Amino acid sequence: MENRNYLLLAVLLLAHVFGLHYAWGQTDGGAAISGTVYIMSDSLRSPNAFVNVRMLPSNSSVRSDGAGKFSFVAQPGDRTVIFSKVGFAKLEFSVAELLARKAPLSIFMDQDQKSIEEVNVSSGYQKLKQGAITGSVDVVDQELFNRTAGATVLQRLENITPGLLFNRGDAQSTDEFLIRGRSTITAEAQPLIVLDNFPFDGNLDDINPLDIESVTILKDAAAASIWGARAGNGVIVLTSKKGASDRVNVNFQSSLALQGRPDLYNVQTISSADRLEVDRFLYEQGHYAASFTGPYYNRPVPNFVELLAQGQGDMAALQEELSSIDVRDDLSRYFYQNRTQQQHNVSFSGGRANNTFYYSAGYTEDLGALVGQKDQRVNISARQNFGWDRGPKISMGLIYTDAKVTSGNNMGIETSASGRGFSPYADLVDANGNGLPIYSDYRKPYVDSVGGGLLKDWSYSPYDEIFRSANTENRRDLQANVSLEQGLGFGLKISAFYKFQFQQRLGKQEDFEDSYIVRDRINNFSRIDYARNSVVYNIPQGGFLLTNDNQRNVHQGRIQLDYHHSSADGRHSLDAIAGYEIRKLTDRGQQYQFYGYRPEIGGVNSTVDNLSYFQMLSSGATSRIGLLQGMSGGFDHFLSMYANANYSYQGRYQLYGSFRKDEANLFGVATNQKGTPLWSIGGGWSIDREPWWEADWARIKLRTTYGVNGNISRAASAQQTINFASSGRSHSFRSARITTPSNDQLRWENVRVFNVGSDVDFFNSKISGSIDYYVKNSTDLLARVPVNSTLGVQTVFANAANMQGKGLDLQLNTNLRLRGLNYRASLIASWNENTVTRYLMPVSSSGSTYLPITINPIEGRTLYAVNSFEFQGLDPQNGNPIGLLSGVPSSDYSALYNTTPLSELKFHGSAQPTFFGAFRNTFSYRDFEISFNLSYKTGYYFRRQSLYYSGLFATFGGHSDYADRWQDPGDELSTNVPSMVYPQNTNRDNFYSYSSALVERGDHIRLEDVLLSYLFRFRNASSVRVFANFQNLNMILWKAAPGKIDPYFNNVVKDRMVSTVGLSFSL
Amino acid sequence: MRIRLTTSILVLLFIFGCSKSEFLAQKPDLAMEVPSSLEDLRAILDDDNSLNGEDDEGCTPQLGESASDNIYLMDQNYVSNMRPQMQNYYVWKADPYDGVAVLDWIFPYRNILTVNTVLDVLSSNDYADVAQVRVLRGESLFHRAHMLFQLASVFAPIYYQGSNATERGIPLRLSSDINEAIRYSTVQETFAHIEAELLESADLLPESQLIKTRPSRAAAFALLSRLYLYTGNYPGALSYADSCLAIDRTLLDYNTLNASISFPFSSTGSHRHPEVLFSSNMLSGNAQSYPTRQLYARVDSLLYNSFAPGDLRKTVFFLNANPGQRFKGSYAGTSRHFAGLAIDEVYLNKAEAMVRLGDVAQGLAVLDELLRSRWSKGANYVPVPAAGQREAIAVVMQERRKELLFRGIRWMDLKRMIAEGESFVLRRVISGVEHTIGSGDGRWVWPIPPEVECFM
Repeated sequence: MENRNYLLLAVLLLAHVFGLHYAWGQTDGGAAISGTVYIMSDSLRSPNAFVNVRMLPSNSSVRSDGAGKFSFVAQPGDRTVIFSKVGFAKLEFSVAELLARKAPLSIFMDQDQKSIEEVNVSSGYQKLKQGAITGSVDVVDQELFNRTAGATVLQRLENITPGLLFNRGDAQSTDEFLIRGRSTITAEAQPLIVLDNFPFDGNLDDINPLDIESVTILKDAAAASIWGARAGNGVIVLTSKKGASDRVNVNFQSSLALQGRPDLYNVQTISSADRLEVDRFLYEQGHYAASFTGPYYNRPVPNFVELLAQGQGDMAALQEELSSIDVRDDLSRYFYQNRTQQQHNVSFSGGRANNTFYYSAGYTEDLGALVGQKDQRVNISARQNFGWDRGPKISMGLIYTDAKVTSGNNMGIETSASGRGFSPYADLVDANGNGLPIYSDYRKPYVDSVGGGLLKDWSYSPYDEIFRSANTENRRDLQANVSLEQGLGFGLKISAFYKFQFQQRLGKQEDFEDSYIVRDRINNFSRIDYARNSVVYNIPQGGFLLTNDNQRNVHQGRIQLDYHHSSADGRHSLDAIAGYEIRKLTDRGQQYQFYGYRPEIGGVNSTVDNLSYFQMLSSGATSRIGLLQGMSGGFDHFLSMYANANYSYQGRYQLYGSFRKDEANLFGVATNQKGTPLWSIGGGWSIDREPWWEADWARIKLRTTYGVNGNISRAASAQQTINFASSGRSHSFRSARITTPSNDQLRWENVRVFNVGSDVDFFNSKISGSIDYYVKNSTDLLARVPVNSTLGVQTVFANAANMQGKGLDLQLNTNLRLRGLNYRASLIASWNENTVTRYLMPVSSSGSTYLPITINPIEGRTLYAVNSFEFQGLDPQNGNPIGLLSGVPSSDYSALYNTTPLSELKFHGSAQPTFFGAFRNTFSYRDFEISFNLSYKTGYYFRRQSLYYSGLFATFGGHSDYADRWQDPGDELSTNVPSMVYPQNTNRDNFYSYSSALVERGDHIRLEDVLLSYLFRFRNASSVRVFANFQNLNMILWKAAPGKIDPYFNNVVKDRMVSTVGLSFSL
Repeated sequence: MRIRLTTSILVLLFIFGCSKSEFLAQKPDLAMEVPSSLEDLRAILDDDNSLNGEDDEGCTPQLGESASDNIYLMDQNYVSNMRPQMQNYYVWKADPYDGVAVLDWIFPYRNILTVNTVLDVLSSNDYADVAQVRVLRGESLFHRAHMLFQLASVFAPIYYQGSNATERGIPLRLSSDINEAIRYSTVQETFAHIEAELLESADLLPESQLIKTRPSRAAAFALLSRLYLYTGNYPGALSYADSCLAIDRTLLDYNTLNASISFPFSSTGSHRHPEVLFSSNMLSGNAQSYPTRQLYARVDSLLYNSFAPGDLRKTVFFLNANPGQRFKGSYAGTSRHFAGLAIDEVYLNKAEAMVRLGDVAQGLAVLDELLRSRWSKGANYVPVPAAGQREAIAVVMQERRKELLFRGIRWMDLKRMIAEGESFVLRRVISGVEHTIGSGDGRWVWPIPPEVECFM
């Protein structure tokens, strides 16, 4: 019986697919047609109520009833029947085709993901229509997700959804991306990433975005609490593509992205002429005297100082000649390259009714901006769903990723063997393209003469070094998942899920025999026997190899019961789930270091004396050769149970509740304290469904939720634990140190989230949008708190801090159509700010603690606060920067830097944007489309860099503000850069670099991208989309701070525009 | 259908069948352990980095040495290389703390927590290896007593033949419970506890150990001798000095050293230095930059000049820093100051105790034995001339000062001299301003750090 139904259905579907074509152009009339409309891809086979059924060309229409039933009589001359409903893909049939089918007709409508009202939302545990949801959820459909051709999932999510903040520029070092701000101090702040029902425990860059069907972002407690203790920072749910059951589809996509070599001139570098002047000044001051005396006359000096010391030739002419060099020219030409990135992907999908498949293979190659950089990624994915109408449904998926990241010994403008940087007048490559040596570790005379030719060449030529080292990481990630579901009748369904993830990360740092790293170390550890004219090498000949291998195994299993019930009259509807989940993660790591590495014969030399102390040839200090070796192991165990229920009355009122309890292998905690219960409640009111609602054109829904999310930190422990070392400092017996003192009063972190929001849709989605206001109260945040140090520790991990975050997420869309022209626009806007409401740490008496931009929990302020010294201009007499000490102008820099209390620092605001969003515009005319996105970030601050004299004197480089420094009385009117004092006064430098003169507003609006595409349609329903993307335009339309600094590129190399061309072919 | 049901049941059994408590008991990190076995405890007590201050920070208090008359600072080092708190240490400021963590308090109590953990685990388990339990308990008690004694020497008044008995001593932290209520003991309680603990440890410990970072019975005897000397119990000091020397009376002949290298004891290293009984280093972090920091501290010039020409210590101990002399004679063989126990100190304890008990000639003979090993072979050693008890005491005290430089002992000796009734004034001049501390001053007891006081 079952099989017959199945066959019949398949035949009907086939008829549907092919029927369209031969039925075209026939005319029939006066025939009665009836049947039922169902929702496609819903395993419970729900009827689709209130579907509009329209006949053309007569334009008469009927609606399906609450049970999805419809019937009509086709008028003579009617050829076409259109089934439509908001939230579903329009279906078009010929009348002839419908008549040819056996009555009663079953029409399956596929859900359309474009409407806010009926979008299918996957929480990773269940699929719900957005209309039934009370929580705050953003859905990124495939069209939006594929708007740009970014190679990673994260690249494609930036600036398209509210509440999701990607920090750029200096702020990137705080948190890379956040959902609704940071709500914890010490625990993980990144959102939880879920891929196909389970948390993804790998590198996000390894996911092939072309295999992703949709992305759901769970923002509030009701939406996220189903994910339990790890959901305090929000959840990003990724759903892989599945085969659709009504068509066979082959898709091929290929794109090529090009990006010019980055702009090095964005790095504010002292001019060669100025640096030569500084070199001469320092030389004359005797700054480098120590380099020219003593047994170790090798302390490096700038090249010009070396020439001055030799004193041969016309120094003035030489200075003139050198001042025409800009080291960035060579760096840009020889160390950077044009970046090319190619992506190729092919997928096959299709199937019949209950049996679908999706196979894909992708290849991505990225030749990075730095010479020697190359990233490759291969993705293979397979998914098969099969099942029987009443029997079980089985789904199996396999995803394999092989990614390889390679780089040479090239850090571009940051390249420096010793941290002294490049002289701006350094010549790195000669006219014939050969690398030239620089002397940033040892002086040239030392390098030329030491060892009298017995040692290995000790010169360092950065350009030649690029390919003498190779740093590779090879990541392999295998994910296999199986799920099984079985209807049990009475609206019940039981399902079991299992996912296995195996990840291998093989890191390899190779320094080949001819590399400077190897030569330098071997030379330093050798002893010259002048009597015998020979050298004793204590490090074996050959290169160095350091391997770092990690494996991760994750087993995750879940068993879940679903219940669905609709009352016969359609007034009451209940969806509920309950389940039990287990998760076991095991990490293993090994690190090994080898000497005498010869890759050509695959050999290493393990006879290394790593216990003895040897005298370093270049300094006389003693050091061990050292052998990095180690093993590590980490284990993450979770047991969870959960339940939720969603009740709806007449589709008008919704009530939601959820509960979850997580237990983890928290160390040193009694079993009954290993868990935390989390819950949420929510309510929704679809006002437009009230009987008294008369404005047909407007649909409004209000919703609110409240709930508790959690967070854990593994750093805390309730029992005293120890960590082993294989030896002591002075002996070789095993030793152990107490790592965590006991604290049996530890609790889980707790984040209580209140959310109220509204979804609106006017004039049939011509205007739609949503707005959400939320308050996140984090309590019991784990932090280190001080205790009586007599106890033996100064601080313990305790639930000591509270924080409040609040904000607003707004999304406004419009979709206007005028003949063939379609304009779609989407404005997303977010406001988020956080305040530390309680912190038990004593406030340090010295404000200087709070100057670096890092987590600075100060009661009443934001977590990442930008503080500075009040800057009172420059002293007209001598160009000294002036600060305020207890309100009195002062230039006592030691006192200013060391004793200015926190209360006297100037508080600017947050280092992370507090207002941010984007405005996306898309115009399409027939099959041509053009789209551009503007973004803005405001309400935040960053610190500009400037001249730091201590650094100027200690390194070979410097900041271009040198040219603007105070030199003569009157300069203070036009500059804030202090005068030069020698010897340097570090506190004076610190005062200036942390002064308010250098804090800038980050606020700006920029044009992010412009995208063009054209769709060629072919008669056999296949099509080719050709597209061109122009991203990273870095076109700033407005900014608050004066000057030229782009807040995304604060004194670092600036990325250029990325131009991508590609085509996507589908048949 | 039956198969499907069976599968479901199997899945359910799998999930519920595992032991939940076992699953959740998995330790999250391989290198982590809740200490329980004797091997664990042995490893904890071998953490020389913290228990012996072998790391770059050291562990025994520097407050006494920084404030002692052994050192002086150049104005420029005082002004530009020291934070206000460290400057205050040097000039005996009554309210010295200025926001910098007082490691003199923190590190000793950190070590006490470590050994308390060992003691608590030992007492809550039954181990078969009773001999090993005795050693581990003995070492723990020794460490605790040593740290408490070091703390008491700077943060508590001297307990000299029963003086100050009811004054405020230091907290006796005797458990590993992080919620323990901390209270001060009296001076008498403090010293009685240290004495009892040392006596027990001497009973439990082996005569000597494989490495000098593990306390031995000889070290316990040496520390008892120091304790009795400090508390004015001279017969006790003599008796335990003798007990210690009966185990080991080795002296290093300084003629075997190369005095010209930057740290003459580095070739031997503190753990192979024959005179070291127990290794412990004074607080010395470069980041802290204490007045005792080897780079800055100059040795009192009168003291330096008091070394006779034939005395090898004059070259072994000192580095001409122009102006003045810096100290390079640490038994640690590095720029960190050795503040543990060594045989030379026991000789001096013995000599002093004998002199104070009236056996002047014998006492000075002991002193001669020590000094001969310090004397150049080329120069003729002239024994300390016979003298009356009063002069002999002065000679021995001066020899203690000369031999035990930068070991944290001078501060204790000064306090003891005051208790013996001597009166003197120490002076320092910084930027033309004179600072003094007299023998009647209350500042010989360092105040309790405010971050501790606020919890008491």
